[in-house]
Amino acid sequence: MGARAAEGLIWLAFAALAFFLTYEFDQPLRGYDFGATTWPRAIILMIGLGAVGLLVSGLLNPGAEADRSADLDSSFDAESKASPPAASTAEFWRQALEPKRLLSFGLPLVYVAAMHRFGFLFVSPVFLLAYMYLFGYRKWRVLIAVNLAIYALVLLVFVRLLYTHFPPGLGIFHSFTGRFVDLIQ
Amino acid sequence: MENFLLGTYQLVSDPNALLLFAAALIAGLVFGSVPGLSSMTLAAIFLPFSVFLPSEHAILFYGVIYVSGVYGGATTAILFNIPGSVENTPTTFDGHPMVKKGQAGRAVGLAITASAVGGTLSCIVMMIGTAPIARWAISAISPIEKFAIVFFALAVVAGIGRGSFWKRWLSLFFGLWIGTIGTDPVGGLGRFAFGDYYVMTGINFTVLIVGFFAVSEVFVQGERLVRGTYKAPKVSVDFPRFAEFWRLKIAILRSSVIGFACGVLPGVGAALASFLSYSEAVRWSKHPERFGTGEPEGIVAAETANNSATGGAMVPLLALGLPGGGFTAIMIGVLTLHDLTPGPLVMIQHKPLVWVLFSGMFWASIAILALGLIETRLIVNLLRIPFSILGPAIIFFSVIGAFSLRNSILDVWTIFVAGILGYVLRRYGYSLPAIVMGVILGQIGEEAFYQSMVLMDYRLLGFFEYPTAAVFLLLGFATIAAHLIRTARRGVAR
Repeated sequence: MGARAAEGLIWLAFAALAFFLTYEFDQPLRGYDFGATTWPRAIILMIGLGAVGLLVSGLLNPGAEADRSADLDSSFDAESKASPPAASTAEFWRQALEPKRLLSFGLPLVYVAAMHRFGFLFVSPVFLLAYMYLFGYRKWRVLIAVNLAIYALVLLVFVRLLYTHFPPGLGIFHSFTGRFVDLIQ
Repeated sequence: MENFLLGTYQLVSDPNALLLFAAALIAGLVFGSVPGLSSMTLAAIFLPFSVFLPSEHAILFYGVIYVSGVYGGATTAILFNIPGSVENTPTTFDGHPMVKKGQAGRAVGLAITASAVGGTLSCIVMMIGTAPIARWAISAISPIEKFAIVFFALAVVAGIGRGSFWKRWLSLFFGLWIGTIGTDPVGGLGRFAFGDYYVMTGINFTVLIVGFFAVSEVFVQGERLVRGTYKAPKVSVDFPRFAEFWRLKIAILRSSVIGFACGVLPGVGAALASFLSYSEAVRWSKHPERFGTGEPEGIVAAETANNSATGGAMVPLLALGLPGGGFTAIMIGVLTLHDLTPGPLVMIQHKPLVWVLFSGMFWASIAILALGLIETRLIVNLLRIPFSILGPAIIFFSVIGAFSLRNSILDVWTIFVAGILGYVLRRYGYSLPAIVMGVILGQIGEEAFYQSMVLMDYRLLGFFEYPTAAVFLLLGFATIAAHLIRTARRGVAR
């Protein structure tokens, strides 16, 4: 079974799950005879239809996997040429689990989690520095100068002028953020 | 004509008005350009302060930021594949591929000129025909026709682009499904929300756009950086030539008409205008396969239409007091704050105010051209900044934009979830623009559908009793049939 057929099956499973979830709000509505589920179910039906279409086309043409680059989006064109899709499952997992690659996705998630705990204003400079370093920038003076410039811009425009609220963090960090913002404003 | 001259005189003879005009022009460009911010953000921030301005100046400020904000979003859409606002999304389809081909200056130049032409033409029509057009639109376009237009637009979107028809289909309906998450618009029941109050408010559209486009773009380019396959785009500030615009004159005219018409329809606005105009450009083109790869007509179609919609949106706002979208709803708020009742009486009792607004919007459209040409030379140079610095900065500002919408950390999580989802879907050939289009049209379409059903006593075939609706529905079905036939032929050919 080709990748397209497998994708078709995943979409079918998604459609089935979404349809099942519609029973949570399957209630009659006053003033609207079709009820709350008609519109979402019609859409889910269309997803199911699309999934069957993809599955059938994948089974009939298992070699036709040329549509990897996004339809309206050529961003992946260069990528697909530079690094062709993994030839085997082992190769796929080797590519997927490259530590730097994982970090490029994981670091922003760690940033959000840390922001919630330690506060946006304290965590952001560390994130910016770490992410720029991960992306291969090694000129330390420029890195620090750019970080300071971005941070100063945010403090001036968003904190001082626009009074934008940022995640303050928890516990002691909450108080620190409050004092810091008071100082700037 | 004399009203327009009088409005212009009022604008140039008052230093305060002139200063406000310039401030609004620049502020709109800046807020429109920053991902996560938009002219709506600026409009909302400025609303309480507008009370301290004379009513003419307040409404002038809003008219000008409306015009310049729509254009502002085009630059980031082209340069970084990050639309400043929803209506700039189709600009990314061809704008960013042009940047990758080393034609950044040409792409931004096309956007500026198309924005200026679309905005100016729509201002002229707005000045001539606000009252009669508004009366016609309200009587001729009911929810029944609106649903048929949405259906037609969805059918067209399902066919745009290269690659698999089924993946485009799935992208579109996945977008429609995302649009259903939240609360049922009729009964207020939670849908796919699992009882969570945040989810029940629906997936915020700006957050989704920031995640799908800004964050996923950073992931895509970041992955190339860490694997050593990243290629920096070439920077050029070559501007398009007049001959190029002359070649696109039909596209400009068609997009202006589509944009203005969508702007006039309440609840439709600039977002649908740009998508529909782009779809039509693809449909009428002799080379539809070039769209999405850096076709100049794609940028022109989207930018002409979304700017043209700004003039159109003023028609129902001023003549009938009906907002066409979020921004015009805030403008109603501005009028109300100044003890003015939006509607036909404003046109009669406050003629100077209306004409200051009209002339301000007209001159803002012209000014975009001049300011844009200067700005382009500066902004295109942003591409010279290494992506290893730009990427983290984009993430940082996206986080600020997402959080400041509702002060919710969940919005920040949502942009990253959407970013990762967007990355995966792009990698496997699904169309993010079609998903976005599905979300926008789904929300407009669902409301129109239930209103239509109530109006037609739940007869699905009742749509065909309304000539305009019937035409759009038949066109929609014909478009789907054409897509299916093309897909089947390709399958047989293989």
